[in-house]
Amino acid sequence: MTATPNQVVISLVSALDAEGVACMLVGSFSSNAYGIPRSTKDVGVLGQSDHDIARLLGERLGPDFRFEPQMSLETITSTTKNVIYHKSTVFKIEVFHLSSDAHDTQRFSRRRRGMLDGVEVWLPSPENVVITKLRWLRVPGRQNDIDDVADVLAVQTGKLDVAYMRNWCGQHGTLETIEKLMIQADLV
Amino acid sequence: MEEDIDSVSKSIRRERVARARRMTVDERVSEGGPLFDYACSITISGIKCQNPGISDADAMFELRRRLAIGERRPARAVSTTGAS
Repeated sequence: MTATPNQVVISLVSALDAEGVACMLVGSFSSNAYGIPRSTKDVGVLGQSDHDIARLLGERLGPDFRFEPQMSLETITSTTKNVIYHKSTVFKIEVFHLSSDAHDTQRFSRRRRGMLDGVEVWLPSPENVVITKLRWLRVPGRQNDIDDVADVLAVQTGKLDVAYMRNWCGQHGTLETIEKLMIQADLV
Repeated sequence: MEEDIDSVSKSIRRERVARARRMTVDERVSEGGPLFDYACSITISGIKCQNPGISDADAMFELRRRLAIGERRPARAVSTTGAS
């Protein structure tokens, strides 16, 4: 029987847990948690470890997964990333290594528990989903991110720490964008 | 006519937001994967309709090819200083 995307994510999170790697789901899984759920063809995981996370996962996950041989560099937070494919599905996994970037560190320290199909997972706060996705708009091809932010702001209206978001967005050069999106969200 | 479309669009948006607000965090985070499975199953059906007799393996190969095309598609410009 073919695994479902959620089962693939659970396998990944369980493998990281077994290796003692603290992690949280990022990307569209995290924006789905606080916004309007949409189809997602991949999962992003941010992991904290002094070791090579890809090597640890390679030993733990086994032959159902294929690892891209080369690690890539993300220019936004100067972090590194490994790409993994689940062979029998078309689901892609991106494993990011926690960087020393100030916001990256803080959003990880504020992660919170959630459940994915009954299994414990860790998620960023909704404010940090918004801040991160706005920051990533600098990367080409990220139109989904602005839609995700608009959805999180609309669904979480009245529950967000606006001062916290403004502070980080001011530092990241995305303050004007979030102000406009917050005005739009209030109209919903 | 345009006003009607705008009104319907806003109404659908309000309904989607209201539905999401009724869901828990755990329900929302668990929904993306099944939605992807659903989208893939529709695409596979389309591939099989276009290619009668195609094997499951070849249909999956075509699905992978189409997803790869989506990843390579030229980026739409996104402003970081003003959301339209």
